[in-house]
Amino acid sequence: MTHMPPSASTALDWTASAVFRFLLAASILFLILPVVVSVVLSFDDRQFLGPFPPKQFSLRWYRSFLDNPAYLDGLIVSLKLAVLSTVISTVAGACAAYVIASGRWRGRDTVELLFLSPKFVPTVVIGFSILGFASAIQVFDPFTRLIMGHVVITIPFTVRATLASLVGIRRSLVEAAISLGAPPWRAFLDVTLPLARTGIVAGALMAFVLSFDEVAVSLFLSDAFTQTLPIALVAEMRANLNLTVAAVSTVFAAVTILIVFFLDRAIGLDRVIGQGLYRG
Amino acid sequence: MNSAGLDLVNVVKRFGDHAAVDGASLSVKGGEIVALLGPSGCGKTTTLRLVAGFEQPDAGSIAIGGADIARLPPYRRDIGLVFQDYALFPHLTVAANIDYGMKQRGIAKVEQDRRRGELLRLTRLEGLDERRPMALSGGQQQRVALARALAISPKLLLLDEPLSNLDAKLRETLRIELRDILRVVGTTTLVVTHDQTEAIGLADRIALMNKGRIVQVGTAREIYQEPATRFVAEFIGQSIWFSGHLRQGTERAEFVADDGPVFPVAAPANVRTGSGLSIRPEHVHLPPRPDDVIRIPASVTNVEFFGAELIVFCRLESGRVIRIPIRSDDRVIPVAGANVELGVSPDRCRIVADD
Repeated sequence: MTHMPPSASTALDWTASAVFRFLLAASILFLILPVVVSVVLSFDDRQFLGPFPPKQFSLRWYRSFLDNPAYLDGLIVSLKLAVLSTVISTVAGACAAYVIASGRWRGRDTVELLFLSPKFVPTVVIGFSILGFASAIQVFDPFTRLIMGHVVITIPFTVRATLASLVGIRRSLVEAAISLGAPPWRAFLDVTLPLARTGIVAGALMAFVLSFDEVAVSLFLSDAFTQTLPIALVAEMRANLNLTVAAVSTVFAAVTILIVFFLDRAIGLDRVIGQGLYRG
Repeated sequence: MNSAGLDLVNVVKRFGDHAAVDGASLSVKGGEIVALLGPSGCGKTTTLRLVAGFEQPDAGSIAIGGADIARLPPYRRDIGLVFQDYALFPHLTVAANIDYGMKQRGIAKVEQDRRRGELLRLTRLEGLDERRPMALSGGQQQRVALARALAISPKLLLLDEPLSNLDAKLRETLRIELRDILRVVGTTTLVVTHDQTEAIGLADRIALMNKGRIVQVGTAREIYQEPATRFVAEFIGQSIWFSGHLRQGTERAEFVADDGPVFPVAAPANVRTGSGLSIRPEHVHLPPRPDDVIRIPASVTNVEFFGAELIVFCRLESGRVIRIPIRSDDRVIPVAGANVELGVSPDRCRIVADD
């Protein structure tokens, strides 16, 4: 680049930067616009899916949402399921990551791959496999089945996130605590755990959102009486497509965003406190 | 100060087929500062980890104050350890870092405060107690690590390459500072380092380590003047080395170098068996002094001028080129191509085991 006259390289920089900005803006629009459309439609007063934008607004679809027990039950099932499977997946995933990160032992890479494998298997296959497995071990309760399925699909994320933060903790930090008189379990609580917290919380956040949004696996594992919100949404959409779906989607998106927002504040704060944790 | 001595006897540590520490023995007196010096891979870090308890010896004994500690877990050894990367807890303040070891010991809060204050003063860190380690300079971080290790009133202090993580310019100042703190504290200290300046600057005595063994222990001066092996002669300072053999006469002995020169050796009492002869370059005189009995013919190939000192490159008859430093006072400076005589006094020649 040094051989190029300054003006040419400046022009090139400018063009590259313009293209980059355009692509960024386009991506943001593509990500946000559909959601905006769905949110606006949820307030549409019309009985049918009319041209955008709506002329009159009302809360009728939200009323219809609240009147339909399938949605409310679905929301409660989804929240319970997401909380429980996140707790199980985070604890199990963090423990697995700790063992995987604790030195080089035979078969370590295989075990790590095993924990990450649900990421690469189609969710439909996981859903069907868990259904078969659950009946083989005589588990017919749909909620238990759903928890099994959701733990399987979320555990790669909690393992991965915890591993990433554990790798950054130097061995000397734990040894320093031990040399100062802390037994290994104490050193783990005082040093390893606080330093890995960012990763653990990030994993839990991903697990929660993943479980809350999940459709394919839940489709196999739920039944007519225990449905998650996304399943209820799909079923309702098939039965009678009206704008209640838009209202439910809006509520659904709002809940997800709220959760992400609160969890991110927790992680974000932690990051400020631990500035440079993994660099120093 | 509760400073106990450290005794290593024939300590062995193997990793697979490789013996990282291969029968190392070392004795550090109470209150003494000893540097464990050696090239990388000589087993010094493994020795430190064995003493700290992070590795278990395969053979031999490790004792502090006469009591064998080999079976004690590292958290019961009362050893203060300053890591090469300092290993300060990044999520805790300076004060909490220093208090950590005292907390593990259940020391009362008042006593913790008193001791921390004392250590902050000693390490000149007053006013920084609420900072986090990342907000400190390298030198300050090192002193926090030292204060944290000293807070538990350890029987023994271990320092792992204490100055290697610091800016070269700062190293000298901080070495002097560190030495002063260690002298005040008076705790028995083992400093592991590969840097001879660091070892000489910090320690009372130096233990030289090579290939898993301690090859020589002594003050810097003793080691420099009486190197035990060729490794020592060449690791500490410069050495001109002649391989050869000793021809022992009735009254006097001679060392016959393989590449020519014959050196009469001072007094038979001084002569040890060995297969090499080491001369420090500054003891080779150009031109020879009157009492330099040994004369070695050479030709000058090059002269480099460094202000107060000159380096004269001399080719011996065997074709080997050696570097002789001479002072650039008003003497006649040899020129390249000149045939000269190098003079050495017999009592400057050390017969040393070739390793």
